[in-house]
Amino acid sequence: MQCVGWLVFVVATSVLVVPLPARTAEPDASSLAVVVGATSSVQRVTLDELRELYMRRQRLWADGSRAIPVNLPPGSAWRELFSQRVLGRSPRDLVSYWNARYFEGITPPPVLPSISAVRAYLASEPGAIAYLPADTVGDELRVLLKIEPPSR
Amino acid sequence: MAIDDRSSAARAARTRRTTRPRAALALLIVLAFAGAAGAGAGEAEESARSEDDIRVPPPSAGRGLSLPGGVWLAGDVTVSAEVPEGDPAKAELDDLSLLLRYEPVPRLAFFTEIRLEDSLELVEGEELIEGPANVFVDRLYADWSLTPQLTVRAGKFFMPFGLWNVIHRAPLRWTVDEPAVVNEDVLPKHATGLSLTYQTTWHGWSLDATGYGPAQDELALRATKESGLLFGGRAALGHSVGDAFVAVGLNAAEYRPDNAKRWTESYGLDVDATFRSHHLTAELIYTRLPGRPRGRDQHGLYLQDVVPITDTLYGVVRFEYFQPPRGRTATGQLIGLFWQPIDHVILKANYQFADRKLENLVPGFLASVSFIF
Repeated sequence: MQCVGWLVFVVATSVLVVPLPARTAEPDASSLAVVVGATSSVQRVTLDELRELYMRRQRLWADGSRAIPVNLPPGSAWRELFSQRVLGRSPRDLVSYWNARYFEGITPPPVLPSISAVRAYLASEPGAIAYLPADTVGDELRVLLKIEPPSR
Repeated sequence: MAIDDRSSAARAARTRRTTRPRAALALLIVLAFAGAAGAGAGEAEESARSEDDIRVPPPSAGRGLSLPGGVWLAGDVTVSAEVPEGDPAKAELDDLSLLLRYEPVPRLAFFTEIRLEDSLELVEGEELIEGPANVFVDRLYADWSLTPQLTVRAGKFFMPFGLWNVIHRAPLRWTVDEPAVVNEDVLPKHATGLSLTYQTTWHGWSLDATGYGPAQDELALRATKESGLLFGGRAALGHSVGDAFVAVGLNAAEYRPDNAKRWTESYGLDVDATFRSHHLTAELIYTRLPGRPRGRDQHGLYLQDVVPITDTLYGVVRFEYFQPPRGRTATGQLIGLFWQPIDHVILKANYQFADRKLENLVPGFLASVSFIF
C-alpha cells in the first residue's frame, strides 16, 4: 500500500505543484492614492504601516484610536494592484492568512461596494483609510501616499 | 498538538449505548447539506447592496456575526468520518465551537472559545455511542495593545509554537487531521499566563516576536496532561521574493509537567510561503525528552502544498516524516481536496498513506463536513 501511496502522491504532486500563471492586475494607467477623510487626524502613513493596517496586525492609530482600513470589492483591479504592491500578495494568496485570523476573531478589512461609497465613508469616518484611483480623489479627502502601477 | 486525557476519559465515561442504525450518519450528513443550502441566502443579500451604500458591512457570510458594542460572535460544527485501513469505519460529531470576541475600547479585546467535544460517535458494527459531551474553555484571554505594535495577552491561549498549533482543529485548515509531528502527546497545546507580542513591518520585512509563560493548560477546569510550567518564544520574519511571499519562523519552548521533575525542550523551524496561489507550509520540530539517550529524541517534519483548482476547490498534497520516542520512523503522504461551495460550508476529503500506523498517523480515508457561521 505504501508503494501505491508514493505513486499517487507523486502523480498528485506533479499535477498540483505546477506554478500557476501570475495574476496581473490591469487597471488604468493612473496611480492609486492612499487617502483619509479631510477631518482625519492622520497626516502620514508609510507602505510598511499600510501593510500592518490591511493585514490587521496593527489595529490602532498612533494616538490609540481605532484604525479602519477599507477595501474595494474582491475582483476589483484596484484592489488586486493594492494587494500586490502593498501586501506583497494577491487577495487569493491571503485566504489561508484570513482563515487563521478568523479563529482569533480578526476579520479582513470591510469592503465597500464602490469608489463613491468609499469616498463618502471616508468623509464621515475619521479613523478610516482607503485606496482609490488617484484621479477620483476629491476635496473631501486627504492624500497620504501614492502608489504607482508597475511599469509596462 | 498534545493529546490530553480527554479522549480516554471520555471513552471510559461513555455509559449510554443505543442501537445505531448506520442511517444516523447519513442523516447527519443530509442535515448538514440542508443547512448549507439554507445558508447560501446571505450571499445573495450581500451582493444586492447598493453601490452607494456607505454602511460598513458586517463580516461577510461565514465570517461571524458583528453585534453592537464591539461584540463578534462565531461558531462552527464539524462531522467527520474515517475509514482506516484494516479497522472499522467510524463517524463522529467532532466538535462544536463557539467563538466570542469583545472590544469595549480600541486598545482592549477579550476573546474566548468554548467547545463541546465527545458527544456522538458511530463505529462500524457497533452501537451509536453518546459520549459525555464535555464542554470546556479552550481559550480565554484579554489582549491589551500597549502600542500599535506591542500587545500583551493574559489568560489561556494556544501556545504560539509553529504554524499549526494556533489553528489546530479549525474547520478552515486544509486537511481533516494534523500532521503527526504537530499531533503528538509531548508538546503542550495551550499556554496559560502572559504573552508579549511585537509585530511590525520594516522596509518590507514583516517581523513577529512573541514570548510566553509561565504555565501550561492551567485553566482547563480539570486535570490534563498539560498542567505544568512552560516558557517559550517565537520569532518570524517575512518578505516578498519575486512573486512569492516567504515567512520563516523559529520556535523554542521548555516545559515541565506537574508530574515530572525534569524539563522537556522543543525547538521548531517553520516556513509559510505563497507563490502564484500556491500555499506552501513546512514545519520541523525537534523535542529533547528528559531521561532518554541521545538519538532517541522525538522529531519530525511535514511539507504541504495547497493549490486552488477552481475558485472554491483546493487540492492538497502533504509529505511527512515522524520519529516517535519509541519504535521506527514513520513516513506518510496525503492527498486531499478542500471544497468551500458556499461561505458557511467546508467539505474535506483526504487519503492518508503511511508505512506505519501510529496513534497520530492512521492510513486510510478521512472526510469531514464543517459549518461555520
